[in-house]
Amino acid sequence: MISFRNVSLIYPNSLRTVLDGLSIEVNEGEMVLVIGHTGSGKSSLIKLVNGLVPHHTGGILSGEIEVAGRSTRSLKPGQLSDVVGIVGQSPAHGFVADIVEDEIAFGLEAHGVAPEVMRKRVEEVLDLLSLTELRDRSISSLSGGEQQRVAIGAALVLNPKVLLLDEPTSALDPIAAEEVLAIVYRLVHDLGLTVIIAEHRLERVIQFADRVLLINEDGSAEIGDTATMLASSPIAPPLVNLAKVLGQEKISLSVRELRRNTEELRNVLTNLQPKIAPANIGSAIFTLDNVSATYDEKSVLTNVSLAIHSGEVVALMGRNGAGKSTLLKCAVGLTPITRGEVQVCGRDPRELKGKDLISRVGYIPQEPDDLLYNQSVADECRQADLDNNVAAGTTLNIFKSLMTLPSLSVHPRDLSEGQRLGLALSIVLAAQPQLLILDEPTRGLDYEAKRELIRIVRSLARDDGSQQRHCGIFIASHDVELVAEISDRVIFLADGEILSQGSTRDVLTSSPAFAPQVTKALSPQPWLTVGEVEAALEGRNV
Amino acid sequence: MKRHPLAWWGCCALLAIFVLHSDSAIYATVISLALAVLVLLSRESSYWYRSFAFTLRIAVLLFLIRMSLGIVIGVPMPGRTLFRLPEIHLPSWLVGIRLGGEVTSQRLLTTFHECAILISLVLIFGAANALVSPRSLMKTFPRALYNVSTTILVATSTLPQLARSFSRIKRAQRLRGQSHSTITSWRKVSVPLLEESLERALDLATAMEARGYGYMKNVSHYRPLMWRIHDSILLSSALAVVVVFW
Repeated sequence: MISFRNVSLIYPNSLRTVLDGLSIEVNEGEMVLVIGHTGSGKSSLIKLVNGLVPHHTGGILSGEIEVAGRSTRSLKPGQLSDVVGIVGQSPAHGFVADIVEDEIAFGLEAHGVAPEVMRKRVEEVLDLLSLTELRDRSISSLSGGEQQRVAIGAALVLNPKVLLLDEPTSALDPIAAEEVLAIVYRLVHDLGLTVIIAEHRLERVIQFADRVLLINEDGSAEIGDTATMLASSPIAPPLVNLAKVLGQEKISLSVRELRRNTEELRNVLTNLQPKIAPANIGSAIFTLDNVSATYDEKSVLTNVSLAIHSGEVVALMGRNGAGKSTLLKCAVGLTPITRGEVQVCGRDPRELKGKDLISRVGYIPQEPDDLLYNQSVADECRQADLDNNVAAGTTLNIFKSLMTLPSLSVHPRDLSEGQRLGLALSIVLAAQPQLLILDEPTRGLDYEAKRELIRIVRSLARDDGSQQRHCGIFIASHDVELVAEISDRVIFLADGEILSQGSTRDVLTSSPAFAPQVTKALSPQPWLTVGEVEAALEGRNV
Repeated sequence: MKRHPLAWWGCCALLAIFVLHSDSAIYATVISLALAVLVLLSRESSYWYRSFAFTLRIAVLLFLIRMSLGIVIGVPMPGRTLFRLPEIHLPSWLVGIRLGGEVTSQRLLTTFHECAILISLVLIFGAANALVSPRSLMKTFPRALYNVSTTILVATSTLPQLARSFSRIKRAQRLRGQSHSTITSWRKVSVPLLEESLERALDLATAMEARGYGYMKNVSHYRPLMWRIHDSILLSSALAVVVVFW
């Protein structure tokens, strides 16, 4: 269906070879998962298939790419739109119409399909993706998962043979992600659709993939059967790492498979207990007392009371649209509160401005880009020193202590997602806030960058006497694997109300949808992470 | 207020021509006010009305800039002297222009008059944008105007987009502890704002391209736009206003 013959790609003004001599054949009805570090060329590979690269982006391409027997060399993306459908990284940016139905019909209109046929096709697609109830809704009022489904529907309406998905679940909560992937899986099996999917959160997709294509930093690539590829790949989901720790010969790709293969091994673990270092918790630095808030006459928070203490990492979980971001924004006085009281280090954040605010709360929004507006990393750090009234070089030193520095003359937009997050963190930490807030920090981060983030956050919460440390940290995330690794406590939010709160172990092991893979694989034992299991097993050996 | 997009844009275009022709500050003000009320009344029908608040801000900014320029720089005019600014003497070859000096009532009135017309044009465009989603406007364009309609679509989508990005970036700057409304902070907002708008426009163009927009000779309509009696009434009443007061 898709064939790459000796394909190499270089972008203009860049010295790096994105792809180097790639030759692959993808058969009809196959689902191929593309993995690789951030910036390794996963998106480029996906866009090569329908010609968006290089027709739309520029770039030097050699070799031959054919889709359903048509070469992308001479055909523009629009001319391939009847065989290839694509869903981009952020579907919200690509919506052309205001209403769900119109959005789905757009491709058909552009192809001049007769109105009667069009109505039938739209109806079919609405049914296929369970969008019938949403047909008249305005797209901007939909949740992330619903928008993703609309985007897939809009791509499928022309009956393409190939569907390209670029990080389809990175913005979705676990339940919505499962919904979207289950639909894709069904399409592959019912319609023989060929799917190429790029994704960072492997734990969500590996069980569906037939083959895995790994793109290395130098542009070379390997393709192979999912289990063999993951067994040797440096990028692997918790389940695969767990299988390795348990000493399994064959890698299991789903929780079901692992449980079937490890009945005996799991017995060994029943005698062990996860070792937890107790958190050194200080006084309360952020409190909400019976807070309610409304937005556009809709209630978004109802009677929320909570306290975050210094030295602890608290995760805020819940489905898309549960009010997580709104709750976080209370800490910087950006939420219009109708009732109740918010206090940050004993002050109402709405009354704080400028330096008074940032020396108490450091807030990293969902898009760390928002905090960055200078032309280079060096300018960015200098600006932060000025804003915070600290000695020149302070911000840069913090950045250096967090991660290996990128080139200082680089424009912040050209940094990788992980580096950008690191830069935003350093800027915020330069003010030495006592409370650090992160909104959905793992969006677009690969496993390596995520490990780095976990290390940084853990060390910030620890109390080693230095001023920089012993922060209270509040993280909103629907990445359960991150939450399992990073947090001491979890607060679960639903429809603006606190549903449950307690230690990470209690909350995560009690909800099947929001449980990390290790918990699912080893339940009813209360393990959360591969690290815990490994440490316990080693402790036994000693 | 679901009307044919061409009815609204035709209506606004007529009013704009009228404002330009009549050259009257009073008509300009009345028409802008009427349109502003109309936009506020139809606010529940779409989120595009939010962009109108942004248009209003731009209008106020334009007003302030134009007024202050008109007071500081200008040709000498007769009339009662209101107050006197320190005058800077320009070289002799710049005859007829002066910086500072006497500000007469005549000079103030002329400036205000020009301002009112300029701003009402901005407001009329902003109102048209708020009343009709540019996306539905695009549908009315014939295929021959494909390039024009794509450009208009992307350009008009940018305005509401700008408004949303603007408030987000301003919020983020509060988080960096920056103070508000200084000239340097404007410069800091504008760079990310421009970058983001360009990026969004490109994303939209890519999405349209990938779905085959503009490649086929015949285009069909899922929901054909109907020209109803209300649309004729709307357009003819605008025409009537223009004819009566011409």
